[in-house]
Amino acid sequence: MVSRKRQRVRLPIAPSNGSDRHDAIAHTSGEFPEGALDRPEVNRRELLNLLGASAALAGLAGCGQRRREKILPYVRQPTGVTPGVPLQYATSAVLDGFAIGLLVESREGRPIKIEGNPDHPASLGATSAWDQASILDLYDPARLKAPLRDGVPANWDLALRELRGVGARGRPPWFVMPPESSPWVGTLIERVRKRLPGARFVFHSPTPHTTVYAATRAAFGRPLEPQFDFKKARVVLALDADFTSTMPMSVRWARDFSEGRRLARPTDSMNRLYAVETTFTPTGSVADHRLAVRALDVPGVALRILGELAASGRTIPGLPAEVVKALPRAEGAAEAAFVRAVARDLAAARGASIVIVGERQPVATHLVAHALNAALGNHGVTTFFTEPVLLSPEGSATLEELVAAIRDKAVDTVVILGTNPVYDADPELELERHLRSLPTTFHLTRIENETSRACHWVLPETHYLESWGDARAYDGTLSVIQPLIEPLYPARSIPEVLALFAGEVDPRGYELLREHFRSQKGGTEPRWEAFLQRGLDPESAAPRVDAKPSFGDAVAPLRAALAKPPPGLELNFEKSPVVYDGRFANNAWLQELPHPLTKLTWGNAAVLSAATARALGVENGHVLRIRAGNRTITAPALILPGHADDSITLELGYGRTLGGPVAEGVGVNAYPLRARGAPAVANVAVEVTSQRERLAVTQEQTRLFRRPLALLGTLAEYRAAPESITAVLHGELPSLLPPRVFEGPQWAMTIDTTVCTGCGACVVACQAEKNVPVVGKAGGLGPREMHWLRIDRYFVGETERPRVVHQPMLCQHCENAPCEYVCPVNATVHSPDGLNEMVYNRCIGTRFCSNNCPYKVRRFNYFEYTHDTTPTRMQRNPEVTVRERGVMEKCTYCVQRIRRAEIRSRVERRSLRPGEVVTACQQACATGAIQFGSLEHAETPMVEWRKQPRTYAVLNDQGTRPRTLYLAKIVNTKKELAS
Amino acid sequence: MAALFPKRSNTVFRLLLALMVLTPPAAFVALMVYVRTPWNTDQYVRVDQPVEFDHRHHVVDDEIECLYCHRDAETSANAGIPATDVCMGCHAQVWNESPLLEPVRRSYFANRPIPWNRVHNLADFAYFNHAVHVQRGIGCVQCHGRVDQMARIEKVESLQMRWCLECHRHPDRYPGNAAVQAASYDVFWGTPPRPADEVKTVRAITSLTTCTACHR
Repeated sequence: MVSRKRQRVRLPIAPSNGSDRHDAIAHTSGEFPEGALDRPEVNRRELLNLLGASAALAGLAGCGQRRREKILPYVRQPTGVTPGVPLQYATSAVLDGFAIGLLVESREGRPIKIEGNPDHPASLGATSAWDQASILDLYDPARLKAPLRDGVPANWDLALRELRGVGARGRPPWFVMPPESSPWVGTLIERVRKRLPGARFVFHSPTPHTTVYAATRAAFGRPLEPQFDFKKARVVLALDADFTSTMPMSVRWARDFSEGRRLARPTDSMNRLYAVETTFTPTGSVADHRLAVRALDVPGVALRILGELAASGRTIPGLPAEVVKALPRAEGAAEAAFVRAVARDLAAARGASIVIVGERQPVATHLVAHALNAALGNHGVTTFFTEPVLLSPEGSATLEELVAAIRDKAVDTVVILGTNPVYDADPELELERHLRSLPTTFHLTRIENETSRACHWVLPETHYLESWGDARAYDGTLSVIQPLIEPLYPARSIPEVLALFAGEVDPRGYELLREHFRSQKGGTEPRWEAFLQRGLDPESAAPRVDAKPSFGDAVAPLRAALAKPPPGLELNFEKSPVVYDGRFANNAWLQELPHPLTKLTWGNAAVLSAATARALGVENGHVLRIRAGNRTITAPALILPGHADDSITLELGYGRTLGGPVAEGVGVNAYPLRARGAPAVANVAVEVTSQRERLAVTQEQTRLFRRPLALLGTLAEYRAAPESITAVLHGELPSLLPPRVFEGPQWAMTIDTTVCTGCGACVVACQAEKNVPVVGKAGGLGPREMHWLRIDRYFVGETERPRVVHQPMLCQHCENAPCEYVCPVNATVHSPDGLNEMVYNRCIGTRFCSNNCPYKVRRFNYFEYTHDTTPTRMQRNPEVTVRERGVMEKCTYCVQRIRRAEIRSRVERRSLRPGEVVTACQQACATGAIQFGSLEHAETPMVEWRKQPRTYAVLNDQGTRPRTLYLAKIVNTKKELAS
Repeated sequence: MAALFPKRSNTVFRLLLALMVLTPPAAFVALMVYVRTPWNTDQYVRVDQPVEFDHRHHVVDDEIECLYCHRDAETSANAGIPATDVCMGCHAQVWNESPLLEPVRRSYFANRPIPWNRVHNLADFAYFNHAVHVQRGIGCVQCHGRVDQMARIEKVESLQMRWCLECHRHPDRYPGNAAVQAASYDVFWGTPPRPADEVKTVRAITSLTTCTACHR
């Protein structure tokens, strides 16, 4: 039987019906994903065979030898450890030098779950998706298990001998390492420099933070760390700054920013965010107004905003008059309106606004931001400065200098610690060739990667959950890195290897760090204990420094920015919100995490706007050949509403050639086209090839088909008629069903879509907590994704300037659950405390429940996804059943946490406290968009939110009476810009 | 012509017919009965252990409370098999040269755990919590039987869901009364007996029969 292939007409984008505000934009034509309407190719005889075989084999399932299990108790039970009771330890994850405080749950010595440290200023209890997923990296089966010498397994004794010999002969070594904020590493570097004079240190990151320092040096005369207090900001202008998800303090900033957007009543005030960006970012998706421009045009827009502000008569302290005079004014219809509105709004919010710039922007854009913040009186109120957090000791150098030195034959030993520069450095440096020309090269890495291939010695590096260390958060807070487990394989940390060069014979992280702490002022034993227990030193935040802008070296970069950037198509390089710069590419949870806006999994794509796609004649999945300079890459196209025209975005971090089985061959490597780390390259040539590629997009449907699912309204509308926005999904419906009896606490969830940025931390947290399997790209194309919690993204409004509603979608725990009525074996039933329960052992896999679920949140395990013999098994949560193939599963409202809290309260002979049960998604959420609890606790935000007029139930008209309610997204539009 | 079949073939045929009808339900019933019998539930099997540990001696002769060794029962989901150093706490002084204790000493000095054989094995998808049961006054004896009379530990209850539910559906019929409370919480069994009225007010046993109480 030939399967019926549907003719798919792929309209890039269809303008929405303006009359219906809830209708949105489609970039696909079909209502159902590809393959959903195809019949399975089974004929009658085959079917009978299968039926017979399954009947015959069904009986065998019960057979099998019963084996007596062994119990292995401790020989000496460690103090504080009770088998079955989890422990939490404070530690920190470091990304590009900046720390975020974490609490890691350990079960009998096995770390299994990462949460944010509520005491830590960079976390406040929340985490990013990367932090959540980093636990999987610990158990990664691809980790290097022994040192390699020229590709041949060796051992650490040999490696140590080799490493110790480095200083003794030849020239002093060069070190390439990630940006560091650790005071301990600072002292180690000093010691290395003392013992090996002439040793040089390169702090390498493909997405460096150094532009920020260069700009403050130009504006204030010395490098400074700009700090922001989003809680105090009424107006925020984000210039190419994804400050809620990919910047050093994002988790904290997202929380602070969302505090200004929580509407308890329609009359409450709300901050306003203007975003200027190229691709759609999570920050852009919560912006009230968004201007999509090419990355190369962002400095121009910034200058024009400054120009408008100057023209309105505001003095810009410190900026030379000649520059002020040359500032451009708003131009172009759409942009001018935006620029004028921003300038006016900023001027009105004196001392209560923030202008923030993305790190990748050139110095000029940063200078404009400093000028704006100074002119608006923000300095000292919403923005202030501290000394730089990242180390830049004497002897630090750049990769360019390293390559020049190799060319001059002035180097013979390079030690690369942790980073992967061969993959992610400027392609023009030809680092691989240069490294290969050296007699001695070392690479310390967790997984063998592109750089390892070019080095003689490859040494296993510890995961941060196996190492001792310290680091500073973006605000300077000193945070501890303490191990949860002994290294799984013989591995060493970066400081331990550095200590070898400092002359330590067999350095041990703990002893060295302990010694370092003791040598510091106030390094007493109680302070050390407190440091380990809290995970941070509470008084260590960097003090504010006074900084007056003088713009001493600002004229040249500003003048350069005044020149018009080259027109035409640009190729824009973005940090991936999923694999970052490529370092998380071997993490299957992150690869499977749908991109917040494109919903693409397992790979990147050439993302472009509908208009640009039309101009190029491109449709989704067409493979493009993109040429910039003399280099070419091919990438599949993906149309994203709201992307800037004349720009193609490629995310970094994909197309790995070596780096673990998960990473390799996924997506396209954009680094070869990215010369000198520029945010974008101009004048790229695009050719549409005849190739097509299927993209594993988890939500092809962007349109609402005029069904109101995700609601959005403006603040003005909400104030005028609070009920109007959600009227369509509100109100009790008559029911024929007998009323249900509920007793005990009544569990429910409320989600505020106004603050949800769609970052995906909750999705990964859920995956980690609930033992959710990974299905891979083939599974994603199936579509057979298993995420219990997904984030639906809907585009609303105009095609060119859409708004986005992120709607976290999980089991709604309907009081009249449609799934329960159709289950033939009572595998899904309702509990008296309001949970829709899934009993895996009763499930026979008919999938009737999934068919009858209007929210499509039930997941079926089609293949043996959970059969895992690798070390990743050790991550599994012992409190959650590992589901087998052929069983339906879905969100349980973290019932294991509910029962744990109930048991604790009963043991302690008290009732449940409000807010005692926190679900994994709620705990991870940086913006606090998800609230969970019992309806009995009326004073909790969860219950208070439900009384707001903007509350709605998705598919309320189905009469399912879901326990999960949503708050409609409210945007604070400016009247002049309202469209 | 003589009959092809003897007269009794009718009877045989009828019997066969009856068998054909009766065998499937009988087999079904037999299986259902079988899974409820001790053959399937592993009840009353005296399990050999790597150490010849005699509960009778420790509980009755030495009057050691259950919680002395199984100390996590009040705080954790697991009651806990004692670590070797708990054994050595006494047996470094008492019977410290006994050949019976050789495996314990070997474990302690070689730092290798004693591989005990599990007797009470609950399915992995059932999440039983000792702490909440013990704290609500359910004595060890309720589920584990008279361990003080066992030389080698055996399972006396089926630990099947049916058995759990008997008590969960009718908690009043089971250990809620003071008599059982006193019997199971005497000096051999953990904590001293509590007054009957306290049992009623403090314990407030709830009937938990919802699936996720045990299956998560």
